[in-house]
Amino acid sequence: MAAYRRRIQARRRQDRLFRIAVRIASLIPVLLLLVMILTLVVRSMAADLGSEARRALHLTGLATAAAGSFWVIASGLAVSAPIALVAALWMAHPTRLSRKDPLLVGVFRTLVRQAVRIPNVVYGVFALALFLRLNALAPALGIRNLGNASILLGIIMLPNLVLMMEQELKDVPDGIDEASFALGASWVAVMVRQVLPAAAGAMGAGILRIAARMIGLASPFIVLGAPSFVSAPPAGFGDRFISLPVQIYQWAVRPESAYRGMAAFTSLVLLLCILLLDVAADTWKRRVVRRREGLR
Amino acid sequence: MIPGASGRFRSSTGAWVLRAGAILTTALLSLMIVAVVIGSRGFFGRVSLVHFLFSAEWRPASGSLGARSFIGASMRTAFIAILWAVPGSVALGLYISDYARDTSRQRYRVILDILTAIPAVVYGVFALMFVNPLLQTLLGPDRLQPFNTLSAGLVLGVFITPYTTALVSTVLRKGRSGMRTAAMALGATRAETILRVVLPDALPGLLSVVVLAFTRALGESIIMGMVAGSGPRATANPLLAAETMTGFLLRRGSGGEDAVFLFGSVLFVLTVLLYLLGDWFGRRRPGKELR
Amino acid sequence: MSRRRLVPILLILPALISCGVGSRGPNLVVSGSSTLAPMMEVVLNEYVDAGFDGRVSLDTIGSGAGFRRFINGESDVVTASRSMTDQERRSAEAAGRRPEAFIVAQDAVALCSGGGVSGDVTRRELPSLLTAERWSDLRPLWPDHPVAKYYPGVDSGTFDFMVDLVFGGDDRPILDSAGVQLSEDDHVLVQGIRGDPWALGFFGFSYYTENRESLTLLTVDGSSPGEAGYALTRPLFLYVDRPEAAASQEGEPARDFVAFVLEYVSDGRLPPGFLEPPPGVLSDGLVRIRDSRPGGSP
Repeated sequence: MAAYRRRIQARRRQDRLFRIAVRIASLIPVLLLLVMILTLVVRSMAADLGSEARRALHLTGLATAAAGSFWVIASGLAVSAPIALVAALWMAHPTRLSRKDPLLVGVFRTLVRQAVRIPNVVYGVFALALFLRLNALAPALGIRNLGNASILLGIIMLPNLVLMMEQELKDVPDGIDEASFALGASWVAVMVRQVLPAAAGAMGAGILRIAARMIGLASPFIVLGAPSFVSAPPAGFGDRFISLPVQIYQWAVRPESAYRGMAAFTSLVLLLCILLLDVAADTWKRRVVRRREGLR
Repeated sequence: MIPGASGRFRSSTGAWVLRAGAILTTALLSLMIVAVVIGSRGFFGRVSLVHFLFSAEWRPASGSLGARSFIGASMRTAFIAILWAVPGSVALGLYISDYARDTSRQRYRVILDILTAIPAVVYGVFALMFVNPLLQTLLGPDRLQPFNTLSAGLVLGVFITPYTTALVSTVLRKGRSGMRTAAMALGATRAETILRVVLPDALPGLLSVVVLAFTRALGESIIMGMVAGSGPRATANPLLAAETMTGFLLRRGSGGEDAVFLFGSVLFVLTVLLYLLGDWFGRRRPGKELR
Repeated sequence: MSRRRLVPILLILPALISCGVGSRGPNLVVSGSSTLAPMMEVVLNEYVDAGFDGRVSLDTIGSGAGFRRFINGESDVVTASRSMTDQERRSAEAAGRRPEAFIVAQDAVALCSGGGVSGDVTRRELPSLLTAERWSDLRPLWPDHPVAKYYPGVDSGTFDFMVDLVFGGDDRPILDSAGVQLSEDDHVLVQGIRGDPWALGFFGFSYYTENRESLTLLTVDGSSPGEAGYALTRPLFLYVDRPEAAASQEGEPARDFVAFVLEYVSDGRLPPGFLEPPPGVLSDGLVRIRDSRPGGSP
């Protein structure tokens, strides 16, 4: 009897220890996140933003980089969102449309699923190969400018956008398209005039989320070729530009503490932007979902 | 029969417009692949793959491109990363699925979502400003070089933890809950259920998670370029600087030389194959006998 | 529904606002040497402040890569810590460019260690020093530690300079030696060297002056960079198209900028770590650049 009780106690102790171990292990990522933010905040102090000369120089750099980020993402979206939308409409439609083309469906789905996982550097290398070749044919196209970088970013975003849009189109409550069919609408009318508007809000939120992920992207641009500084934001597609994470990368490798401080400070700014975009996307999505619940 | 719903669509132009979207997407994605294949085709004629993979003689000027040191460095950092990230993710995943209350579970999901959004540059900055100096103080500056694969691997591990945790959560969720409840009904403690039932059941899935996490770590470039080193070194010692494949791409990429496209192709093929392997592992379901 | 209309407008607003921000003037693309980069950053900012209404960008990719970008038309001005080779010049001319060189400063390559070793090396010892596997290989009294080498990369003019001076143009000994980390970005080299007491490296003098407290200078034949007779001195160049090759508008800002740099240096405002070029060189350059201006000298 006593042996039995001892065994039970041992097992209980193991349970408790295990629970504690798991708890501690699970706190580590949160802890590391806090340490990281703290380090960034502390190091930002060294950014020497107090001195007038430095401040002007560095904040201009930050503003230029921020504008560059905005423009490359906006242009990238302008390039790929329409294509993604059309492709997603095709894939998401519940009736025969995509079933008429099983080969294209198969190829498309596989390609998109794999493309999402390709490392970003590799996209950069691909784009460099492409643009070098194109530039040899038509030198006016340039290699390392906003236009080409937008195309690069657009192609990186394309699979993400397609998957997101397809999911949002499918998430639209069935009642909407069933009712439309009942009224005799053709599938084009159904998709374009009923399902799409119903999904538009959620898609907008999805685009914000994808944009939040893309702000932090630096490696494809570095592989394509990024300047170490630019004096003004881009005004046209032939202009050179720099984006926030690339600027952070350039500053972070410098040994002087003022530059490292700027890198830390800009990292915080970048994190803040990402957080804002994510929160905006989340709130928007929640509002869409709440409105949909009301329809049921 | 209602005309619209019968499948006889009245506007086949509309069909073609939408189909065009899918074709265009496919074309754009394939175009990239074609571009790099053409870019490296001239190269493959000149250098044997065996030499590339197994020789450590990296002398582009003399034409010898043995990339073993780069491949080794990439593998080393990715390995350190998963050594550190997989147990942590499993613990976190277990905590979320088994231990957390329903309210805090949602909060953990939100935190994880935020963590996935932190870009790699920030982790690189963190590595240079905190992790590296800390490790140098602990291990001594003459033992640990200012650029090394250990710091890179550690920070990389933190970077992939949110991704890995999401994967682990999926695996645990898809487990056979019947077995879990059965074990608990028989009087097993939570620890015992997890250790003896849940984890063994999830093993193929966890194996897939390990492979997927490893591949994710392999593809990461910024942390590598900032922390791991900028010159090839064939060594197993993580305290020394050694450039990874992705770090090389970051450093020399814009120069557009042969080696860049070669590494790009190799990385592309390697990551796609490894991801497919991980998927395959995840698909094998154990013991169909039980229900 | 007014609220629905509002949202898209709110989203487009930042775009509309920042539309006017980017300047519409010409683009001035400067690429090349990392040795010249600290000076170029200062001067480019001054150039913008002095009223340039376009956009300047600087690529720090190494002299060799800078020349390549000049040849393929991407760069307007090349900063280089070595002169153009005949082959590069031929390729440029084949591509329709007419490069003209201007010496803007002088640099002394600083040989540095991470602090574990200090002292003097002779010119004759340089080949062995740069390829040594352990510090004690060169001098038995030096510590028996492996040398951690942080050298400029193969596109760097500084690399070419040292290879020419020390190894007679053969880059194999230096590239084949053990433990070499290469980077075209001298900041990375400095970071590496100051973190490792057994490190060895070399770069432009300005990088040493900026990081004096954390680097240890090794003197060559008894003299330091900047002193007369220091063996590792070299001129620093700006390359730009001659006026007859500048078919488009792009040629003007490039030559204007070079003139600005020459005048800047003549005014005695060289940034720390950069040395005055030999007498007469600057004024000669100024004459050449002013003569080519459409209005003649101002």
